[in-house]
Amino acid sequence: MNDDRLVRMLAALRTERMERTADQKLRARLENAWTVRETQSGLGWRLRRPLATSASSFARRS
Amino acid sequence: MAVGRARPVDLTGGEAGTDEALVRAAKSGDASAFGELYERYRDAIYRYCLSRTGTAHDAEDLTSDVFVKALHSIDSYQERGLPFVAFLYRIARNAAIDRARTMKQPLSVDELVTEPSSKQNVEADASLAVDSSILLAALTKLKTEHRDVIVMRFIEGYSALEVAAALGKTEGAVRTLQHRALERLRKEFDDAERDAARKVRRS
Repeated sequence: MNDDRLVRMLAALRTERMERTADQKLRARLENAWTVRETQSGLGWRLRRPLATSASSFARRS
Repeated sequence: MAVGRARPVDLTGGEAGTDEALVRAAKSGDASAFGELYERYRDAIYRYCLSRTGTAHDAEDLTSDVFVKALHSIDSYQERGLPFVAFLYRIARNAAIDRARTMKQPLSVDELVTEPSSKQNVEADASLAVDSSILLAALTKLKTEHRDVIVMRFIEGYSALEVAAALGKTEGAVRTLQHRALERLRKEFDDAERDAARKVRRS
């Protein structure tokens, strides 16, 4: 194994992406965490907004 | 952001889209700003986590923990020359250490070889996927500071100067670390490759 091959293999790992289902699961978890954060920071006024508006903030844009 | 202002559901690029501006907006309660930061760094943090765990499933769990922790601690983040991504890497490093402490046993090469990081890679190029799995196994064996430099320099493509800023080291120290880390990784890769070959011969 030489350095060139090793560096090429490392660079190839740059194409690794999180799978879509895991991404969606994580977005949902973040959405819940964000709601808790808002509640704890006293920004209760935001909770009056429809959940759909809040959820769309984490929605995939592509 | 003033309380009561309508929350934007999308952000455009340019000045408003810099990490600094997004962090400011997120701190003020703008969920879409945090969503944009997540979008920008999700895959980079996932790859870092992959280099720590060696398997896609564990890397996904760890990435999830990292962003939830980032969301909870974003108020404590102050730029002061430290890029936001460095803040995320720091959270990832600590989360990985915490996770490793709770793991019952270290990863084995066998486990990694039978669970490649991407099934699509296997279909596209089986030997490359096996090499990647062995490489990931080798990466998990490195010391944290070696792995950090390898991931940031050779997987993410940051310059030595950028890595130095992110890790709070000098550029010279990063180059020295990089040299030692590559040497160590080469040895770990060769060992992991031999183990994998032994397993194939046995089966």
